[in-house]
Amino acid sequence: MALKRIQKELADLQRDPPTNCSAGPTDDNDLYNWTATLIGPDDCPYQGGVFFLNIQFPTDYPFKPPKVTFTTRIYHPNINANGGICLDILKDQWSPALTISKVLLSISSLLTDANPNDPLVPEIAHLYKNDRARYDATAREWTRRYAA
Amino acid sequence: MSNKSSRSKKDIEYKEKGNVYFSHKDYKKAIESYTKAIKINPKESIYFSNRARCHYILENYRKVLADSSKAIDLNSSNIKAYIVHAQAQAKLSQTLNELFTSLNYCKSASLLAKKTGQFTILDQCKELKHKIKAILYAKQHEIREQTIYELEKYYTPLIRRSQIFEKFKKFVKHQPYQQISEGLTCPISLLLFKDPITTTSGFSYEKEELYLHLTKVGGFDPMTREPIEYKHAIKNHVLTAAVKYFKSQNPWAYIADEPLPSVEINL
Repeated sequence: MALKRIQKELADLQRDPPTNCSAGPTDDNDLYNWTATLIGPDDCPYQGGVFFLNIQFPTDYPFKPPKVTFTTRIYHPNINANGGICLDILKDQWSPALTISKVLLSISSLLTDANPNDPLVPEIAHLYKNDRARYDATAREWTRRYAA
Repeated sequence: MSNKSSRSKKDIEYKEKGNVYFSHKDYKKAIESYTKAIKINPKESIYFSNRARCHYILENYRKVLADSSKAIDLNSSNIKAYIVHAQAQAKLSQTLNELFTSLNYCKSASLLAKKTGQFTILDQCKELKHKIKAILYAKQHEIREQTIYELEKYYTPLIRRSQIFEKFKKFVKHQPYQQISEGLTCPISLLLFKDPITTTSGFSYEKEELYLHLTKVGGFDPMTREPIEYKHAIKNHVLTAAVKYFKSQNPWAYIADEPLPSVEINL
């Protein structure tokens, strides 16, 4: 079941790739492990950065959410140093009608609009709320350093 | 005379032994038993068609063809021999001719099943016929693509600079890949509907998938997150009919559930 759905998603992604991101198996022999890339959206401090993500599908996908983590370092209130992402649809708001393509789109909009009220890194969230200019500068600097 | 009857008894024993091995999925042993039965009585069609079925499972398709042909020679109304022959031809399917042969064997089996009133087998034949047609379609599609590719490779350097090239390009423009419209696929499995049911929120899902969702994830509609209950979901007959129509117009959709079989090209 899981494998069929993953294969179908892969075929759909290859036929009609979404803008600004790509995804596929890290190793052709293991369809449960994917690598994705996300280009930082315009009008945010991550603009132009290339971010790599790791996607792990559970064996009962799509009835459990995929585990998605950043492997590229990123300065963001909802993403921690281990690449963990705080995003409701990857946790209790998951629905089997969501696809990797939709998940990547959500992560992309999380980069544009962070959610400082449900932070994973409180210090960054604090800066985001109180000194937006310094937050932007640090995020831009990290993008230049790690995601160029 | 007595010698002959004891001999034929012995071959039946071997056949039954083979059947037991078969039901235990020990196909190699089953083949050995059927082979012994054939050595004693080489005139019994069923021994050959049973052995063909074992070879089919073990993917020795050439051997399947030999055994099933022999079985048909011995008894031209051995339906199972026709079916396994058609299946093996379809699996090999290296040329279009082989696929047409496969289709013919399948038709013979259907006719026999209809004549003898074996309706389950008739249904199996229909299913098989659709699959073979789908493979045939995939292969014709590939050959077409390959031909265009070869033509382009040959003509492109010759006519690159002329206006004809543009016309040529237009003429051989690749068809967009077959796609199933979104409304006909389940939002959970992403595949063509088989047994669609509609929830109280108005969205439709494959019955089995919705059940898994409600038991494993939670009691909400996967698209709208509205609370829903399985018992209130109803079968969507219109959607079922639409899928049926779509399949009849697009034979490839029979295998759209599975990745296209790779077919080798002989030009």
